Amino acid sequence: MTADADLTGWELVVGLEVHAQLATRTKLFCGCSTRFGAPPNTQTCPVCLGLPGTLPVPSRAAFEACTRTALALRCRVELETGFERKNYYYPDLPKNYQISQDARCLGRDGHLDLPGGRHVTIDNVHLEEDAGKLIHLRDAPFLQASPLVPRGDPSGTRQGGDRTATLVDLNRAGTPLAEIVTGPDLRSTDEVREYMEALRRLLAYLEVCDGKMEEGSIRFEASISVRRDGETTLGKRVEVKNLNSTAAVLKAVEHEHRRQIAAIEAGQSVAQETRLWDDARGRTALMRSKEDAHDYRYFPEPDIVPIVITAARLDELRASLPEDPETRRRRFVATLALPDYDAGVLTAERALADYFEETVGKHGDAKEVANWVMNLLLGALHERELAIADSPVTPDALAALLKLIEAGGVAKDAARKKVFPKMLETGRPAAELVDELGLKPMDDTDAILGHVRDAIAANPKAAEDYAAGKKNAAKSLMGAVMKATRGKADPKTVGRLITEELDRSS
Amino acid sequence: MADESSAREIARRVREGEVTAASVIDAHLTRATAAQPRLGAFTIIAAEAARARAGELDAALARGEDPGPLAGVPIAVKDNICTRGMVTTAASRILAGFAPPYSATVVERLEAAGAVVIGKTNLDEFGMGSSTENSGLHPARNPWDEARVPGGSSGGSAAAVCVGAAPLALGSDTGGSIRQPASLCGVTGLKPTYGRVSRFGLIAFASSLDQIGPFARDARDAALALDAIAGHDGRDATSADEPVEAHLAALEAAPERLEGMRVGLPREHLDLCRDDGVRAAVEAAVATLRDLGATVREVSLPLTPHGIACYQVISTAEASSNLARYDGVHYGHRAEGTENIVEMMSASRSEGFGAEVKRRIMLGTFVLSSGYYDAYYLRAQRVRSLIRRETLAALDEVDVLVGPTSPVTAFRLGERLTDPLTMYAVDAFTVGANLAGVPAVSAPCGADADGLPIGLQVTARPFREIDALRVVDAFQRATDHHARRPALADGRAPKEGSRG
Repeated sequence: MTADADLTGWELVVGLEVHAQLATRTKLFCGCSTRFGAPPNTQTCPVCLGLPGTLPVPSRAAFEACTRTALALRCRVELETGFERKNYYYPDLPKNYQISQDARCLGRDGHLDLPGGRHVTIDNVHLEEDAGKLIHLRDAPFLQASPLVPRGDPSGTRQGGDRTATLVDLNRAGTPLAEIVTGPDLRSTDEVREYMEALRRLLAYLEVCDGKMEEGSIRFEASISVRRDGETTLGKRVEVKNLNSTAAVLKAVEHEHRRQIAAIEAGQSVAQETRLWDDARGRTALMRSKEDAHDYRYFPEPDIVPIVITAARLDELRASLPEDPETRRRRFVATLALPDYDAGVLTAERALADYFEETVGKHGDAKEVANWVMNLLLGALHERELAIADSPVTPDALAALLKLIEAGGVAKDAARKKVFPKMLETGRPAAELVDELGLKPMDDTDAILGHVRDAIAANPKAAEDYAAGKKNAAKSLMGAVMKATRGKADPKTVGRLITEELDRSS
Repeated sequence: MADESSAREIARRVREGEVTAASVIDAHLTRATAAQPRLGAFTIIAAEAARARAGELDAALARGEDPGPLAGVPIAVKDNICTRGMVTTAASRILAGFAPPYSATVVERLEAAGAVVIGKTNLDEFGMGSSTENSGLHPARNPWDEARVPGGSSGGSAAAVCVGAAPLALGSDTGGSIRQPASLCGVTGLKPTYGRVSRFGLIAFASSLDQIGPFARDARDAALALDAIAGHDGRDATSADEPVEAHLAALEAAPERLEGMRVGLPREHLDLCRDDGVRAAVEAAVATLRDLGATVREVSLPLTPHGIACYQVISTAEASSNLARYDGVHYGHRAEGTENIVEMMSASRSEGFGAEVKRRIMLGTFVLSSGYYDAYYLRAQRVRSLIRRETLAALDEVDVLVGPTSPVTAFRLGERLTDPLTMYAVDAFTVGANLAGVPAVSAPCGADADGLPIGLQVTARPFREIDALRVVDAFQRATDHHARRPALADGRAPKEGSRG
C-alpha cells in the first residue's frame, strides 16, 4: 500500500461494471438448472457444454429479467435487440466465445440516483452467458487423491511429478448475467460503496438477483483513474479485476487512488491497463497492458435471430416494476416525515418496506410504527432467523397492538415487554393476549390512589426526601406502585397521583 | 413406372410386406461396401447398427405397426450431422472418435419416419471445400470418373446416391455444398430455404448460411425426404415457424405440364458460364421447360460477380468463431507433450485442422479484427443485403430462376487444389441462394463431351421449395437425364481413364 501519497488536490474517478446473475430457474440458452452448489458438471447438457452441432435457444425469462433491470435503471430499451459473440479462448468457456450483447444491447443511457445525491449514469445494461469455473488442484489439495483427477498436467503447474491439474466445472456456464456498466461518475470510495449497496438493493427489489457475492451471484470490476482538481478530461483508466467482495472493491479503489497519484507525482505516468487485485497483499498487479488487450472480434450471433419485444409487452414490464428503493426512501422522508435514517433502514429490503407501509396503512402514526419495527421486530426476527415475510406478527397484528395502546387498552411498557414477545412466540392477536395475561390497565383512579398511599406509607423516607426538595424521590415510589399494580396502571396517572399526594402531605 | 430402387418404392414395398427392411438394408450395405474402396464416399459404414435397426422395423411390421413413410429406406448421412452414439467427425482429425450423445433433429425425424442410417458420408473438412479433397480422412471420388472429384463439400453423399448405396442422403449446403456435388455426380440435390430445416445437430460451418437438405435420384424422392425433415424445431432458434406443405403429395397431384409457371433466366449466370457444354445443356433444358408450357424470360442479377467475395468474408468470419471450440480441452483431439494450456490448445488445433480449414479460420479472424471489421465484414453484410434484395426482386417477377448449378463439370483431383481461388470460383452460381436464404434445387440436365453430368439449378422464393421441385419434377418426367447411371452403379467396370 502506497500510504504516503497526498490525496489533496486530486480527484478520484471510478466507474463500475457489475455482473449480476439473473435468478432464473434455467440457464440462458438451455434448460439446465442454475442452482448453486451442485456437484461439478452435473448441471450441464450438450448445449451449455458447447458440443458440436448444438444451438443456443434464448430464455424469455432471462431476457425479461434483464429488460426489467434496464427499465428500473431508467435505460432506453430498444424494441429490437440481439446477441453478439465475444471471441476469446479460455478453458472455462466451452465454445471459446461468449454469447453477449454489444452493439445491440438491451438498455442504454440510464441512471441510478444514490442516497447521498450522486447521479450515476448507466452507460448500458446487457444480457450475456456466464462462463464455467476452473479449479486449480494446487488450490484444492483434497482433490489430489481423487481417482477422477488425471495424471499429467495440461495446466502447466507440474512440479516435481506431483499430481497437479486444472479441472473445469461447467455448472455455471450459460447462467444468465446482466452486465451493468456505469459511466465514470463515482468520486469517492464512499460513493462506490453507496452505488454497490444501492444497486444490490435495486436488484433485490426487482427480484432479479439474489445478490450473494460469496456465491458469485454479483461480481464487480472497477475502472479507476485520477486527475487534478479542476481538470476536465479523464486520466488514463486502470481496470481492476478479481474483486471478490465489497471490501475488496473498496480496498482496491483506495489502493489505486493512492498508487496512481504517487506514480504521477513521482513523474511517472499511469498506463491504460488491466490489473488484478491481490487481496492477501492488499495491492494490484499488472495483468495485461493496453497493447495486449483482447480483440474480442464481436459480431452478430448468427444462431439467434434478432429478439423483438412489442411496445405493449415493454409497457407491461415497465408497469410491473416496483417503486425503486431510492424513490421509496425519499417518499418515506417527504410524506411520512420519517428521519433519513429510519427511511434508509426501512427501505433496505422491499419486503420490509412493504411490511412497514402496510402497517402504517392500518395505523397512521408512521414514526411509532417505525420505532416498533426497527427497535423490536427486526431484532426479534433476526434472532429467530426469520425473514420479514415470515414474521409471526403480521402488519395487521402489529397495527392492532398499536391501536390498543393508543386507546389505552394496554400500557405501552407492558405491550413491549409482555404482549409483543408473546405475539412473536404464538402469532396470536394482542387483544387476546392482553386479556389472558391480565394486563388490562386499571382505570380506577381510586384504586390506584390506594396503592399510592400504601407506597408512601411504606416508604416514609421518600416522602421526607421529597419534602426536602429531592423531587427524584417520587420516582422510587413509582416503581413500587407499578409493581403493586402489576404494571396495569397507566404510568402517567400513577406519576400524577404520587406528586399530588406528596405535594398535599408536605 | 417407378424406379425399383427409389425411396418411395422401397418404402411402399416394405410397408406392404413385399420385401423386408433387412433385405433392403443388406442390399444397400453390399453396394456401399463394394463402392467404398474406389469412391471413398463414406467415413463409416454403420452395417451393424443399420441391420439392428432394420430388424426392429421388421419386428414392428410383423406386429402390424406402420414404421412410416420412409419405412426401411436406407439413408446416408453427411458426417457433419450428428448421430447419437455413432462417430461424427465432420471429416476432421480434430473430432476423431467423437460420438455425440444426441442426434440431429433431421436424423431423429428421418428415423421416426422409418428410415435407416447406413453410414456417414465423406466431406471436405467441416464443409469447407468444393471437391471433398479437403477431407481429413481420404478424398472422395466421382462415380462417373474416379480420377475426378465428386464436388463438395457433400461429395460423399452425392457419390453414395449416384452409385445406389442409398436412395437418399443428407447433405449440408453453405455456399453450394449440396447442389454443386449433385450437379457433378448427376443426382438431384435440394438446399431448402434458410430456416426450413432445423440445424440442430449440424456441426456448424457458417451458421447464417448452413442448411441441411436431401440428395435423391429425382425430385419426388427429394420431396419425400423434405416432408420428413422440414418444419419448426424448438432446439434451433433460427428455424422458421412456417407451415410445411406436403411436397410429395403436391407433386403427385400437379399437372405434367408447367402452364402458368414463370421461369426467369439470370443473364449473368449464362454470361459467366464459359463452358460451352454446360451452356448448351442448360439452354436445352430451358427449351424443354418452354415446351412444357412455362413462360421464360431473361432477368438480371447484376451482383452475381460479387457473390463469392461476399460469401467468403461472411462464411469465414462465422467459421472462425464456430470452430473456436475445438481446442482439445473438452473433447476431440488433444496434442501430447505440451507444457501449458495455451500450447496445448494451439498444438491441438495445429495438428487437428487441415490446411483449408486453417486458411479459412485465419481469413475469418482477420475480417473480424478491429480495424478491418468495417472494411470487410460489415461491407460484406451490406452486399449480402443487396444480393438478398436483388434475388427476391427477381423472384417477384417470376416463380423460379433457372441456370447452371456449376460453371464446370467434374474436375480432376488436384486440379484446383493448389489455387484456392479457382476452387472458390466453382461456387459462383450457388452462393447466391445461401446469401439470400432462398431454396434451390440442382437436377441433372445432360452431360458434357466426356459424359460427365451437368446440373440445372432451379431457385425459388423463400418457403416455395415446391415451385423448384415442380419444375424439376416436370422436367424429369419429360426427360431421362436423371435416370442415367454410371457404370459403377451397376457393378460394371469403371470407364476408361478412371483411377488415373
